[in-house]
Amino acid sequence: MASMTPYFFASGNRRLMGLYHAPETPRSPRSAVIFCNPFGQEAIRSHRMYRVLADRMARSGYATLRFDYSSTGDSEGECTEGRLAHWIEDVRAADREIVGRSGATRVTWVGLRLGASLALLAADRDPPRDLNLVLWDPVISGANYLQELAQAHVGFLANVFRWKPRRVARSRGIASLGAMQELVGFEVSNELRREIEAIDLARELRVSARTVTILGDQPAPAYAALREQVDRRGIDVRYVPIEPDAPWDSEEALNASTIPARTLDALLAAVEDPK
Amino acid sequence: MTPERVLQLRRDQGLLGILTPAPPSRAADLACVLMNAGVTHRIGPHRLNVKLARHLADIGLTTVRLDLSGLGDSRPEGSTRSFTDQAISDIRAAMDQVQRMTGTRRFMVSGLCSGAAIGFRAALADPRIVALQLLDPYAYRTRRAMLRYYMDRIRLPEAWSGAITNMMNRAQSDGEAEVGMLGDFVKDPPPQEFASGLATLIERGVSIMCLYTGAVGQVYNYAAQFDETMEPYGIAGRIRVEHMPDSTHTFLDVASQRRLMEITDRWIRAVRGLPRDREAPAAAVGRA
Repeated sequence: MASMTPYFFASGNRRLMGLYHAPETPRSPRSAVIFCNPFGQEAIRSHRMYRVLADRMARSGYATLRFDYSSTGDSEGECTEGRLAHWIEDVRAADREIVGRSGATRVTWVGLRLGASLALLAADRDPPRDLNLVLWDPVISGANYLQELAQAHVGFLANVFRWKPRRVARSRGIASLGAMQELVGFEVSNELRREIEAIDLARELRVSARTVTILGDQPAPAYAALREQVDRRGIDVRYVPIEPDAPWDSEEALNASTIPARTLDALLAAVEDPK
Repeated sequence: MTPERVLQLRRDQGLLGILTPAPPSRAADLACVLMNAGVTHRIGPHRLNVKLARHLADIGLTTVRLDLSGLGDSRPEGSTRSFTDQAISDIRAAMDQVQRMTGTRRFMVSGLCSGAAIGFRAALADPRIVALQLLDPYAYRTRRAMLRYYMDRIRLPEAWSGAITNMMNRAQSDGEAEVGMLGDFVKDPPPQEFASGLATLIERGVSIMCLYTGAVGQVYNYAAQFDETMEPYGIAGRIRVEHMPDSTHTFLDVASQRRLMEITDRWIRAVRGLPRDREAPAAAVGRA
């Protein structure tokens, strides 16, 4: 296992938890990877995958940094204080942090689900000279994503208590899936809800990067509008279909610590060869 | 909040915990260790350990949320010890460190599911543990619990369709054994063994709370069930028992998270060593 340093670092006046994996033998040019967490329950379920991936990349010569956005994970702040605007700043702070620690001149931002969207949104200004984005199943429509989480929330309760979703909604006072104040165990403030709802990666983007790689197991048309937007910015964009693998986001996978090995291979390959 | 700190324990620094210090003006002669629930990393399900750690620190208990060896971001220790023995050693390492930092020799340990099983064993092994919170620990079905469970099922229209599907599946699977709700997670020891351990802890003066959620309703589903099953062993009425029938196993609803915090707050405030004259702001309960 490569050497790992856990520590807190600053993003403005917010303290973030970070886990730095030093490269076993640094590459030339010096290369680094930061990992952008998905949101809420998905962040918990992806923790082990990211740890395994960070470790593998460190063994391959990359400096890597995993971190928790403010008001998430071990970072400072209450759940109700979580804001997308802060998290975008936190991605940039993590980038500065790893460049400062490792001296890397080439950086890749790997993001999963909402973390992929945050990476894309954070790359809209002052990107490092040599930035590659690897986006795993990005959330393209924030409104659809909130709806998915609301359905997952109700579905989870229905499964635990063996109730119909209608009874879950009645017992929890859920009048509308579109207005829930909590999603799969995490409070969502009105401000955060509005920020996530506003995400629409199929519209004009201000992204600035050398390459963008999109990985997903949905049919290619699901990502077509995003690819087109990135392409319009003159960025080398490609889509890498990943075959359905061990599901990382199921209850069973969490309990069994399942790792989607083929997907992690594909992610490593996308970081190794971004062209 | 006093800034949290990273702890790297064991000789190889491979055991990771996050320390939430109590403010010096409120520090109690009692500290706390939280651990993984199943394989969820140290923040706990839905960040519950973070919320709990920060609240406990606020009322005076310096708290460590720990990744046990091989879980979360802690490395395996590499010894030939069993997982449980290693976990007990990890908890002791965390207590040693907090004891060095704060001087306290008195600890609360809280664990959910497999964490409850480990917490129970750790309390038996280390006399510094004076308060033990077991969330969905071992449970023993009674006739009344079975009756209540099946009566509840019968009242639900969806149970009928489920029962028919189950019957058909059972017929197809040629009598495959049915797995109980807890069967996937924890092998419960015989009740006399659990009771014997609890009796040892009670004799030692340990404050114990067992809390059961609705997720284990197939096995445990009414408030007096613990005392009924423990009555033959002289344990009934001697520990605090809580029942949250509307809660999932991992406290999915934010309201259930707040309720757990309130229950924990009330219980731990009654434990000797906590300053009684300092009340945490009520609004702080359940946040983070």
